[in-house]
Amino acid sequence: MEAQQQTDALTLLEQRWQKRLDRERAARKEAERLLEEKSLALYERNVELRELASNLEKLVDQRTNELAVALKKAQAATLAKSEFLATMSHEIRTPLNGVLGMAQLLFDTELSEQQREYVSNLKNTSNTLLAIINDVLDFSKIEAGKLELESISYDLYQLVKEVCAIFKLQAQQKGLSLQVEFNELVPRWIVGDPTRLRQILMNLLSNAMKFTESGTVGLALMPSVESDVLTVCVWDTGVGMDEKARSKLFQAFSQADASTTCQYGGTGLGLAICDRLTTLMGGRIWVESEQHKGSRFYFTFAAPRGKESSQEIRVETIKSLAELKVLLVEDNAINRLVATKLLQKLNINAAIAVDGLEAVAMTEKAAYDLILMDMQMPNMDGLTATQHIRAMNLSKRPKIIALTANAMNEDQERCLAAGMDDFISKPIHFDQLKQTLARFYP
Amino acid sequence: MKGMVFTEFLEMVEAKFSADMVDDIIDDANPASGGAYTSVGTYSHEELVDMVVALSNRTQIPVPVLVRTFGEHVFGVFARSFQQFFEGVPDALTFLSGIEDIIHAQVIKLYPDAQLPKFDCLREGNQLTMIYHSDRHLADLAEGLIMGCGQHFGDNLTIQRDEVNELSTRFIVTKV
Repeated sequence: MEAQQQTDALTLLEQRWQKRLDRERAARKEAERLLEEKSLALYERNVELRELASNLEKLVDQRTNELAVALKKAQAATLAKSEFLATMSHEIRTPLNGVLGMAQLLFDTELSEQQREYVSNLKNTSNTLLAIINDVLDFSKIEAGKLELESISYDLYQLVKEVCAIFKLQAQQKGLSLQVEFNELVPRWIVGDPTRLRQILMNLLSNAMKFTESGTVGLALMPSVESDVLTVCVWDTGVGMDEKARSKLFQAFSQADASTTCQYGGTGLGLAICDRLTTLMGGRIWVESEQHKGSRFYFTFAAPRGKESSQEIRVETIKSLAELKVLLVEDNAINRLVATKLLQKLNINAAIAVDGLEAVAMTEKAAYDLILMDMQMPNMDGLTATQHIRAMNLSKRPKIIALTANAMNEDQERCLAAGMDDFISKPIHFDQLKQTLARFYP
Repeated sequence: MKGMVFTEFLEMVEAKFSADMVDDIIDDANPASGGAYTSVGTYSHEELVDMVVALSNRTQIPVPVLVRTFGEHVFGVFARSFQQFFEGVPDALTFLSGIEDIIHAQVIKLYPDAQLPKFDCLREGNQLTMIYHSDRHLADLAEGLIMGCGQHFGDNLTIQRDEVNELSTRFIVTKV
């Protein structure tokens, strides 16, 4: 009986333990199942994320490529536009010069009052057209990065004097007073590009004149906080402009407002050109203005002190030039005539070759100090002739100066690479010829 | 309800009563899940209620007392397992004020489908009013947790409790 009870108790205990064991096992399996499930979910999520990341990367790459292509296209289009404008302007300018020249000739003939008025209008409109084309040409050159600045020593006082002389008459006619103010700390001789400085001054002054009906137009030059930088202010008591107009002022093809074009004319390029030029000259341009009270245009530009050029040195140079043996290589008869005459003014009697081939042959026979070499010629061009001459074993190395119609930098580089020493752009100006020779034979 | 609550409850029963009591109340309650709880699983909160009722029947200890005691116990477990929630928390009332915004916010991140009670808290100096909203009728558990929190921080808390309605209970917790 007691043994039976003990067995029952044991069985009960065994069942209880078995149950507990089963429960724990079930719990373990459940936990493992859950873990498995969570691991799988995590893995799948990871795969998804990785795919998403890789897709994103692909998408970014694709977009970047698309943008790069679009940018390239846009840049090519801009360049093409600039080049087209430059070409067109150049092509238009040549016949326009003819029109202007003819108008001038016509003006000097015997004309009736009415005819004189017509020709006068013809001349004025042609001049305006030429100015516009020059603006477009300049602007497209700057935009294409093809505008090179000169770096020569020049007389700033003289330049300002000349510019003001141009506007003096106009000021008188409009009843305006023209004031010029020179700070004593501004050096007289500076190094830079006088042509471009003159262009900026002319532009600002002609604007000031245009937009001022009464009062004063002024020009002031002063030093800047930075050394070797000058500040120029062109001011007027004219119509002035509001904030909105000021903000767009230096953008290309924009004027204070569309009605400005009707009332005052202009291409809207002048100030954009001034803006780009001042940047190229290491400075900036800005404006202060109030409507009906006038405007003050300021610009700065790098102006390191220059050396005073003396007239006497040039005279000596010209004397010594007479002893030079010079060869002129030029296929065009008229250009040949012009160059010969210019050289004669410098006491130089040049030998003549009509193409590269003849030049090479003549150089073999005689020793020249200087060869003026046209670039484009039949039989043999200037570059090839130069290479042949440089390959010769000559007792005296002649200086070779290219005569080139293209003043672009790359052409100049090609000249130098072929073994030339310098270049003069055509049509040849006497001053330029003289200065270039002075560099070699001081 | 998270499995951890179940495993902790059964461990407490085992420690305070016996392993046999654990077997007995599982047999009595006969939970749908089979009673093989793991801390990483999720189970119906009714199973917990059934087991508490079974424990009460066997021990003659009222259900609310059991649930409160469990709450106190389980807070200590939480505090050991989730120490990061206690960093920089100076006292019990500050911790309790942040239940909704800090603790529950983190729980939702890990378990987006968790069904959490809602606490409206208003702190006034040494007094915190917490209104508990839940359809699970576990205000006793909440009270036990509050007590456990006080013990964890070594703060002497008095709890005044009144039923707002069937789904809401107000606790006024004062630090003495």
